[in-house]
Amino acid sequence: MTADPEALRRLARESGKVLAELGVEAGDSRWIRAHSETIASLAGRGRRPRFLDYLSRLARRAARTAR
Amino acid sequence: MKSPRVLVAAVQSPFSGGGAERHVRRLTEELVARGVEADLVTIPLIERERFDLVRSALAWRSLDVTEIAGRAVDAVIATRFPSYVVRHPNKIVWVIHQYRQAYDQFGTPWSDFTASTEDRRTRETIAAIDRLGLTEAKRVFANSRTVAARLRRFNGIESEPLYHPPPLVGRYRTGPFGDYALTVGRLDGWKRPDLPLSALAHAPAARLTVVGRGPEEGRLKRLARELRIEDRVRWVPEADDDTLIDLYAGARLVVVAPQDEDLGYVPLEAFLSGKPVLTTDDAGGPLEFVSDGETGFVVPPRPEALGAALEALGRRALARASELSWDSTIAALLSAAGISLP
Repeated sequence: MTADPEALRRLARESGKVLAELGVEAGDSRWIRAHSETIASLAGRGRRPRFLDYLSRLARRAARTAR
Repeated sequence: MKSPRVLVAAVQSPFSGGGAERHVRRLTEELVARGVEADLVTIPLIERERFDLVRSALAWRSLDVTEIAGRAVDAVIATRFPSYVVRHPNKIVWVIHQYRQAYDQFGTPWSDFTASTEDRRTRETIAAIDRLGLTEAKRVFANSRTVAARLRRFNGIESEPLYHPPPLVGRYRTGPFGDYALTVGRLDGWKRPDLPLSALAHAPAARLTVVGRGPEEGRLKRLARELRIEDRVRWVPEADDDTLIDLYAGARLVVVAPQDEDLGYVPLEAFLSGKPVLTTDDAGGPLEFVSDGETGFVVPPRPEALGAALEALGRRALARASELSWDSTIAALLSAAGISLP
């Protein structure tokens, strides 16, 4: 069983905002990638590569807009 | 009247619990003993890479603890980095530990932060996390004047020192002055456990009992052999509560030699056992209690200075430590949260 992709998208957006609140910047790409990998790992193996890129973009965008 | 509900927020260090872990457990027990419905919440901080510090803060920040099982949580008492970023409208922070490697220990052998971009960003982020968690709190306490001074110096945040008794308060006892000096604590480099050992080389009649274990253990044992003092050193890697109480009660004096310690229970435990404390003039928290020539001895952090003082004794320490009680500590925390005891 894998997590609902919409739930993961929401998690990426919300946690991106929280990361920004904690001082993480959109340019901290390794951290945003590492964070997105954690979220993407909930999606199951098959979806990971493309989904990970997508989640990273969401988190980065959320971090940028939250600042 | 319903019991107020209070959560104590703390960080867990799996397999290496120390004074901070015992302290938050005791705080929770003391709240419960006074009729507060209190519970302890912990999240481990496991640092394999720098980002784990942010992950842990994110985990705390993501929690909503304003209501649990249909009932409001009246207050949160958060204690240690990064637990104090937890969200709650009635958040009291009692700072037990900041992440010192990013602040006062940066640039010393006790910090592994470098000048790399990632380390610089990590330090900036730790400061941002501290600023966020502490400035939104209703009230900020520090567990000592030393910690309050660091918060002012590095974060520009004012806090109020709030002391508390050591973990086994009520059980320490005085005993006859034995033939050994005692040192208690994790054998970590920044606690400078090599200093009392080296001092022994300058005090030919003195004996030392070392309670604790840690990464420096092997090096310290080699040092004792090199200094030819191993027959005067007793190693006690682990001591249960009764053993620790006995060791304090039977000591001649207690040596506390860390650099810029936050507070440290050891001086208080020594005083409640009627023993003087030998410490150094850069020890930080211990200097808030130890007065040179009154409740102990304060000397420069050099082996020969400690060695010279190892022979001396004092008896006036007990009164200073006996002034502390959980009643006044909890009254201060709950009153800051606007809560009266049931």
